[in-house]
Amino acid sequence: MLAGKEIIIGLLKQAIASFNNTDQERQTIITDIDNYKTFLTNFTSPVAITQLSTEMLDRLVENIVPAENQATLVAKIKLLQDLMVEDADQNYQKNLAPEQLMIVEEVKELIIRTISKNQFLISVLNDKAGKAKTKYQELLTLIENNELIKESDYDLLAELVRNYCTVQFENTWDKVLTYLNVRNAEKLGMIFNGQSEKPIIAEESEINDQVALEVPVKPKAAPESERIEIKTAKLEQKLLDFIQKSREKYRAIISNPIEKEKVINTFFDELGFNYEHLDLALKNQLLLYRNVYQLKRLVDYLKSNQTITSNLNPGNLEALAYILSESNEIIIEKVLRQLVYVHDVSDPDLKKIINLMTPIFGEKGSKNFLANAKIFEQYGIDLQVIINSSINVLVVNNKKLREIVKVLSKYPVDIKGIIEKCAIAIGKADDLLIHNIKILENYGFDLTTFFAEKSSSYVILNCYYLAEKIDQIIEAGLGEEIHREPGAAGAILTRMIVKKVSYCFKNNLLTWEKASDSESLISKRVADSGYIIDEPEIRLLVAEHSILGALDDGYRPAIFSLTPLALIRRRTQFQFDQTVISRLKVFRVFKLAIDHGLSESEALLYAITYKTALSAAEYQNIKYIIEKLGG
Amino acid sequence: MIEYLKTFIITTKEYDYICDHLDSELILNLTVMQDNVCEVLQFLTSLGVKNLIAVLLYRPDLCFRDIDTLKEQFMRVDPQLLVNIINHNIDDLVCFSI
Repeated sequence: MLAGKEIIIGLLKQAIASFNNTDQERQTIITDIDNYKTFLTNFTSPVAITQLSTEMLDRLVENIVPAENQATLVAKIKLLQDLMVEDADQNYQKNLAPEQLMIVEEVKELIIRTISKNQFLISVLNDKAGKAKTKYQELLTLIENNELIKESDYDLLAELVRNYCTVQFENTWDKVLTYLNVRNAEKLGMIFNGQSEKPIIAEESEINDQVALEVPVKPKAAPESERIEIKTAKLEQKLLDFIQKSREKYRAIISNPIEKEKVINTFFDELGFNYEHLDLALKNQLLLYRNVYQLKRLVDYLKSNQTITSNLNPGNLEALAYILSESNEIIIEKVLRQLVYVHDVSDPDLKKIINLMTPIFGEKGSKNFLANAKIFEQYGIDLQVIINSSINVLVVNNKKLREIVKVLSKYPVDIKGIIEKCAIAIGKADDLLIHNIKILENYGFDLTTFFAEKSSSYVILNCYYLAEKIDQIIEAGLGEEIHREPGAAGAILTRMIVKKVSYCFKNNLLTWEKASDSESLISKRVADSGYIIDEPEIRLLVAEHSILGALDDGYRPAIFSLTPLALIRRRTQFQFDQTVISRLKVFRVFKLAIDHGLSESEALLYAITYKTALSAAEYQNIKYIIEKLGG
Repeated sequence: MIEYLKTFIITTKEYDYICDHLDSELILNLTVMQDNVCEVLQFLTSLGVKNLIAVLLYRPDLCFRDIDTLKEQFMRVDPQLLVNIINHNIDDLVCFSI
């Protein structure tokens, strides 16, 4: 109880003392503001960060809380400055990593915040200072004399605590509020019931004695006349209303978990959602991750800018809970601005994004999206296509997306077409797209020709088991058919798969061969490994296992011309009499089988027969060949 | 957070498998967008799809599509063939531009 009073008195004295700042200090702050504004005006590209002087930087980071983070940011900024200054060919300046761009953005935000804070300081120091000082002095007198506190005094104190206790705001304000509410309730009780002062006032007199030396104490009003004055019915009601209003208003800043939950419930209510229906885990997340003050600020923002709440589906409580626990008004503004003003996203699409990819408003999601948005903009990606296929691509890891663009840039490729048609592969956690491009290359596809095909052919790159599909098409004797028409291999392969799927469905057949031992560990290992093999690796494998050398020399189709089809055939097939086996499958599965602990001959038999439908005679023939090869 | 998936035709064993194999970001998305995920899974179940675990493991993107858009995309393919593909070889769905 006394702690609250001590805090208020201490803060008021601190505020009053701040008015004694000299004109010189005021001038320094004004100069600082001017410098920061000039710097900000010139901050048109990241390279401008090199112009940030050490002195300016030191003053900027003073505004970072907690203070432990100051040195880290200074180190990051200085490193970036050094890299840019030393970068003679300006590669660094042109191709900053997302983390570095974030640092640049952080500096910008810090400057804006610092300007705002300095402007507040100036407002304290300028002509209004006199009035403010008087207000603070009057309030100090009221507190010291245990007078009734008015609603405007609550506001003034809240502002004071917010400005001077940024780190411990919630705890400090809680103590202050507890003191004020109890103090006022007792005071009102005394006024209405004509009770005498309670012992607490006597305890507090010790503090009054201490502060009386420094601040002139306003004489107490005559209690009798005060009672007569306040006891009019109108004023009584007004005071009761005020107490109720104050409680309502500041309840939001209470840190007690039970109270906090009540407040969160109220917030949901204010936003038009039912908190009671929210998942328990998400309720706990809200309680754990946010203090109520931050929540209130965000709720106020969501109420004033209703883009989020008006677009959220009424039952989408989880999305609202996510936004309340993981987002803030700055992130929301940035993301919405990017979507609406830069990408011109339509209202229905905006609604989809808000409901179907809410993490775009989280810290990580927004960072990725804002960085990805530059790529989308650069290549003219139609966000509507992404939203309707794999909306997750909006927030996909930016490093991964840049890597994909980098790989694709090696070819004369329509990057827009690839990103739009392969959104499913890009949105997956692994590097499926790059993986599949390598598979096509290994199976003899000319990538330059493939990327020159119609974008509809690119859908093949979304397959999870592309290599196994090509293996089975080769083993069905259709390997050359894929490459029959120059410049259409992707389209033909896609068409073949569609036809195979449709035919097998109509005739009640199995579309793809399954491994005979599909439940065994080795089969699962082969299926899930995602391992792909290329020619250099095949050469290493052949050098290590002589049986493979003999197989490769003796059972690849002989070619009598160097036509692309003949070369592809030799590269992708083994021929055991009339039985065609995918060569890349054999090496891939062999390697995995050896790693699994099978002997050479066991591994080779397993690899050749893996997911291949063979008659008993064909199987015996292959076994015989392996024995002949020395297995 | 994604226990609601058990209300669909997903066994406890499958649920545990999903939890072990899905990455944390996907689990977050399934949690945050559960309203839409439920709607999509209900729609797929109504069509006759039984292999929902394959949907979650291989085609989670379907769960985050707007239900009307998804229905429109599905209309382009014979419904029985579509269900067969999802139930047996969901990986082939991409070749039908879905």
